[in-house]
Amino acid sequence: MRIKQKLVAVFLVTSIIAFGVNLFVYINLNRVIKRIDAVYSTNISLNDLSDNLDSIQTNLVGYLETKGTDELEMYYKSSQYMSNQISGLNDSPTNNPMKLMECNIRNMMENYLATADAAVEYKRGRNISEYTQKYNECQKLYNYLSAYIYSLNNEQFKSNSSSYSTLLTSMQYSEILCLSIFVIVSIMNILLIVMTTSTITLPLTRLSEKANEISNSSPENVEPLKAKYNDEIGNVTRAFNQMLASIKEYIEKIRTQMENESIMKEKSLLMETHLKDAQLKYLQAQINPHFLFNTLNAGAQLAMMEGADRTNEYIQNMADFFRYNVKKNNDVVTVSEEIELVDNYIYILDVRFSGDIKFSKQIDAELLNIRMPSMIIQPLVENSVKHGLCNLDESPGEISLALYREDDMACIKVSDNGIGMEQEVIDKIMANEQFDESSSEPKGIGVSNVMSRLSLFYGGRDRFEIHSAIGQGTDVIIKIPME
Amino acid sequence: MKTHADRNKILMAIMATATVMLLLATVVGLVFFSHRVDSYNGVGIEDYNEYSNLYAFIADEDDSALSDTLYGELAAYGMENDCYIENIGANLVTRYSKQELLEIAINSGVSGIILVGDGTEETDNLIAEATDRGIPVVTVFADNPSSERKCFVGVSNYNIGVEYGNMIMSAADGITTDDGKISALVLMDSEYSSENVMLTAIQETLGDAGEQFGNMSVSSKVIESTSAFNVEENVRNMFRDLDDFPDIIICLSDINTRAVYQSIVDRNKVGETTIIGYFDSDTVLRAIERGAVYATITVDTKQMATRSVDALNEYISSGNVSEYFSADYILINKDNVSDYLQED
Repeated sequence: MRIKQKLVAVFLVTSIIAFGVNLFVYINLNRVIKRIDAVYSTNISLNDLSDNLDSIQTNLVGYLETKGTDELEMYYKSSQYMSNQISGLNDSPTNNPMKLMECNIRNMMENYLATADAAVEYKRGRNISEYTQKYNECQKLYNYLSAYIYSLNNEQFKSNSSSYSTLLTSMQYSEILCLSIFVIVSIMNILLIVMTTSTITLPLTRLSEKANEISNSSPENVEPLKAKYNDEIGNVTRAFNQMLASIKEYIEKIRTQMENESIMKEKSLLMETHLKDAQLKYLQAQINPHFLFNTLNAGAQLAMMEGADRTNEYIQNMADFFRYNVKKNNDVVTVSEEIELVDNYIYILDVRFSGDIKFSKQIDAELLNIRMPSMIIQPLVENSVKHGLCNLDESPGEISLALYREDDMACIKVSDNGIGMEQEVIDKIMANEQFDESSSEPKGIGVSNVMSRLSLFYGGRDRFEIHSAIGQGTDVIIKIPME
Repeated sequence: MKTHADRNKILMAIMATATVMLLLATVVGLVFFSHRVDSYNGVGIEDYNEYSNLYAFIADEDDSALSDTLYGELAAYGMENDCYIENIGANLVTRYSKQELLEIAINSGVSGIILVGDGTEETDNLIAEATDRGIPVVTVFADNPSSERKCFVGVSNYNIGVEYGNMIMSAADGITTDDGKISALVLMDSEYSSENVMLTAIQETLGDAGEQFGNMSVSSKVIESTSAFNVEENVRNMFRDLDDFPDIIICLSDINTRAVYQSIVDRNKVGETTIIGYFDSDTVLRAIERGAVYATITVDTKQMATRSVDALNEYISSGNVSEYFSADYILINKDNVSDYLQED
């Protein structure tokens, strides 16, 4: 039900109840007042009867004295009226004294009227003695009747006064009763109005409290309201609940977004940390590359001036190798740049190991422009040289580099024919466990560093695989996304 | 712990219950109010019964206790027999004579009249007029023998006179006087024949008793009651005027008995004179108990009332009735007075 309908209904109901009760009380009080008004009606009737009797007697006497037509006319009128009046009186013997007096009055009055009529008739016939006798009888009856009417009037007055007093007292009780009923009805109407308006104001109050709750605390902890009614407040409540649900949803989304951003930032910081770590290790491993690079450039120029071309090339390669490190250590590079660094490194090793290391490449040229973090492939080749080939005595060491495509991944494979390693060692490497720090081997950029940076850069979408067995050489495969 | 919503629910439930109860209270109140107003319509209206016949009872002018008692018996018996006895003139502000009351009764068209007779001619004439109008008249206590009354219900005055005579003799036995002569005074209401009959019977009874009571002087006086309160005055005047106070006073009416008793008490003559009374009013019975009154004779009013009403009913239904019904009289003295006092 709509608020308007509710309000109209409650006002109508209370008004109808109040009106109905008032009407009922009014009608009944009116009945009491009419009853009170009627209390003395019997006295009034008796007075009327007495007056009429006097009129008859006066006119009878007047007619008998003068034989006047006016008196006769009045006499007949009064007689007729009297006949009508006494017809309403009791005519049965009863044990009620007043009713019995009425009966006596009625009978005596009939005799009186008959005697008076006879007197009038005798007067017309000029029978003096008869009408005189009848008049005397009439006079006697008139006296008796007057006494009876007077006495009855007295008795009636006593009785009526008692009734009047009783009715007045009853009227006072009735007034108190009516007042009590009005008070009860008023309280009931107030309760009805309070109850009905409560169905409007209570949901509003709850809504307001909820709104305060939301403004004072987190909306997530606020429970939705129950919409009991289908009125406007119910609609507002439902809309409020919908709004609350939406707010909660948005808050959840923002939180997820912030968490993602936080993870991203964390990743970025970690990547930076690892790169710094790689650089530090590099600096520790190499002497100041800038100094070395400048020095090598001077050496190369000297070799060129002396005509030592191989030395010049060698020193030039070394210079390129270190330049790469200096220039690219912070950047994202292409696969081709990484391969070029490997070439420089292999040339240097080739000179160093007098051509004992055989290096081969199988390159898919389409993949050369794929971008990847720097300093990834060279450390793997260095590892193959250090750990795979260093202990080879008989056969020459072979290192191959392959770049090929596998599904939507670009694969970089570094293979050697070295001593290989046990599966246990592979598992440890893959588990990113530290090796003995006291190793005498010079420290390069470790496999673990490479793995970490790849994982950070690609968000875990890369693959790092090591396939090896004792005496079977080692294959290290990096799979990176192509985009 | 109750939540705000729970409290609201409880409050609403309380309000709803209160509203329902108030609604019920309103309905009950209105119904009660309506019933109360209905009951006001009956205020001043008394229940009454209607009867087939209305009989008028007309007693002597002075309202003696005997008349009142008789009327009570008449009314009670009449209502049992579907007729109402009206004590005519009792409710009027004016006092009317017996003859006027008779006229009123006749003109009121009563079915019958029970009249305490007085033997006067005027009453005889009115009885004749009533008879002309078809209203039967029955006389009680005292008769109008020469009238057209249909029936007389009363005691035998002669027998009562004999009883009084016997009582006088019995009372005289205990009286001793200086000269040996005992005087008795009979007080009458009127010189009406019924009381004269009693006086004659008293005298005859004493005369027949022989010498012992032959010397007893029996005198009589009529106490006139011309107005309502003059009996007592007349009695006092009479006592004042007497040369010799009588040894025995015989009262033939109720009012005379009470007036004489009171006068004797006032004159401090209790024990000096013996009172023989009439009717069993409370005053007389208590006086007998104390010994101030020697004895009294009363009539069986219930029997008298029954026979009067029966006589009228019989006449109205059959047109005939016996002319005389006797009623019993009762002698009350110190020996049996307690029975009547107990009855009261």
